[in-house]
Amino acid sequence: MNIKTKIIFLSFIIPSILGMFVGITVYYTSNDIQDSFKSFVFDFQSDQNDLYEIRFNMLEVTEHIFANIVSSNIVSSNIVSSNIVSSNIVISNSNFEKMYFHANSFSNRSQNSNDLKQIQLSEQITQNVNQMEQTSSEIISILERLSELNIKLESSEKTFMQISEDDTKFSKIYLHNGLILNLIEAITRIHLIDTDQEFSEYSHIKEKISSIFWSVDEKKIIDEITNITDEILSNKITLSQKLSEFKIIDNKFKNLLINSNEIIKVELQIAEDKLQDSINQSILILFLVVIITVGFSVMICTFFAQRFLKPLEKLTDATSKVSKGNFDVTFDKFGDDEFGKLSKSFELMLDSIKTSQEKVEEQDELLQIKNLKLEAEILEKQKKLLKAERFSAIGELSARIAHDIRNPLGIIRTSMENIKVKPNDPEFVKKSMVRCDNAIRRITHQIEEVMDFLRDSPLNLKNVGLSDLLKSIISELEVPDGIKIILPTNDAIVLGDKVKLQSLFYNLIINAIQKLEDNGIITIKIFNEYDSMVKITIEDDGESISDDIILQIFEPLFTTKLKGTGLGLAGTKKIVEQHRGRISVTNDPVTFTVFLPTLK
Amino acid sequence: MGNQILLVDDDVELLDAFKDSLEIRGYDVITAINGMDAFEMFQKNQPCITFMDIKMPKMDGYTSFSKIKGMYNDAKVVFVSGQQNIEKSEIAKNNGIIEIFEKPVSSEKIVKTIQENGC
Repeated sequence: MNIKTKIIFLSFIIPSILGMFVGITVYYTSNDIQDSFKSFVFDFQSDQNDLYEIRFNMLEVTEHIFANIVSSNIVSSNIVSSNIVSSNIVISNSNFEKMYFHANSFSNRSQNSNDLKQIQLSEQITQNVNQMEQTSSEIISILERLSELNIKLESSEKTFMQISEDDTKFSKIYLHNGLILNLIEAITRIHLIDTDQEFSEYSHIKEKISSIFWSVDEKKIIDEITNITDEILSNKITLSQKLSEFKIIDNKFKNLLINSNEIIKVELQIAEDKLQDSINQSILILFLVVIITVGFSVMICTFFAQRFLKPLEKLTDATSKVSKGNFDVTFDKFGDDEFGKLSKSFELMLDSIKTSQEKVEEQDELLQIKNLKLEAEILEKQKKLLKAERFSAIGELSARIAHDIRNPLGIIRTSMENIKVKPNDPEFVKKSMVRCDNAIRRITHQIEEVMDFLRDSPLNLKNVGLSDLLKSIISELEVPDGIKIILPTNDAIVLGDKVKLQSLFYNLIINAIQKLEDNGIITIKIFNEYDSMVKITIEDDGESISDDIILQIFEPLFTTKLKGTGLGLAGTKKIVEQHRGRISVTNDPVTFTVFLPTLK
Repeated sequence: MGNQILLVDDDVELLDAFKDSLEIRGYDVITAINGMDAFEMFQKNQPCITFMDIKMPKMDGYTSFSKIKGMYNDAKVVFVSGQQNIEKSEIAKNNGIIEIFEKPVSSEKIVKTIQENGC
């Protein structure tokens, strides 16, 4: 397997393992969380549903009970009310069955949920349902009894009314008739109105009746009626007691159910806590899995990297040996991957280097020989070129010198011929002789200029006062009338060759004069403010020098004048440089600036 | 056309010596120190023959010659030069320059040229 495949394999397998671990963990954790949350939500909803059902049935029961009480009070329709009561009993019983069913299912879930409050609640609910059932059955039995008594009372009253009619017929108890009627009225009022006043009235009439003598039949029926009424009254008292009991239970129950919502919400809280726990747990697991897999992959990579890189290290060692010139390098085979191929080609390369090095050494010698030959040729050619250049320079210079010498020669020749024509005129002869003399001097100067430039005579260093030097130069010059030369008022002493410095300033001043032709002002200034140098400027108010000329003005053989060797300014520059100074030229106004070393 | 002889050269010493050599032989000599000067002098005096240097400031001998020749077709001009431009000299020869002398030239040659041209 080559390295590319190995790297691809590793880069594929490690993330795959990591991804698998993480995926499985996340899948299981999320499923767990989902299931438990679902079951909690289901429990909560069932609890709510059961409690709702219980409450609904409780309200039904309460409603029926009160319906029975209302119906049982209506004396005239006792038969109907007795029927209603019995039907209501059936309904109530079915309600209680349902209540028990829901209370039981709630109780079962409460046992599962492990919440003490909820268990308590369910116990209380069951207990209350029991109490409620018991009380309601008691109430119903009282109501049944009341309804029986009412029927009895009615028949007794009928009997009584019969006897009363007979009495009236036979005028036996006529005197007591009013009292009996009062009693019946009192009984009816107790039934209908049922207040303490009616009760005391009834008791009062009952006392009165018992104090009066009655026939046996009368006595029997009156006792019967009063007994039934008393029983009804006592039953009614019990009923009111039971009803208040029932109301208390009912209220308790209501409160219990109202509060129940708060209690069962705990389930949701638990579900939320559990969810949070599960999430925390999954994060922890995820974290651990990531750490483990990263560690694992680092280990694998390190192992393989070492395995992969070992041949590379060996090859690096080998190449460094080779680079130091040691070609006898051997190393193990590395298999058939890139390193194997590299090592093979490296071996091949080494072989070819060895052979080519030998060749190179051979060729190197040949090359060296060739090189020497070439160098000799170049030297020769350079010599020839230099010679040619020199010839061309000599040619130009010769032409210049020839031209400049032809004029004075012409003067000498013509003057000599003139003397031959007029030898007896002494003034004419003298004039001609002076002309010859001047012409000879001109030729001499030309030759000196050339010789000055060509000769490298050593400097004869002395302290030279510039002011005196300039004055002596000016006195030797023939300055045209229109040209004014302003000399510096200050002085400076430079360390230099007096003769050469004379030639230097002579050249610069004569150049300026020739440039101005007939009129103008030449100003010479000396500046002393530099450390080890003196600056001298020679300025003229003539035309400026054009830009293309100013650059080559100091080059030898360059001239704009029709006459001259073209060596004047070149010689000037040479003198300045020999003194280790500097010379330059600027326009506006045209100024030649010379720096010369001083004594400081 | 008069019988004067015009000498043109920017080298005043040479001009003076040249002038002397002709004057002692009885010629009427006038002088000019550059090409421009020479052209003006020619217009003014119309000399019989002109001896002219070539390299001169302001206007050189070739230009001056062509200007003179352009205005006076029968003008007789001789160049006396220290250094000549071969091409321009050829043009001058084709345009009627009488002679081109190289400096230094003998008085004899000058006089002979004057006589040949009937001055």
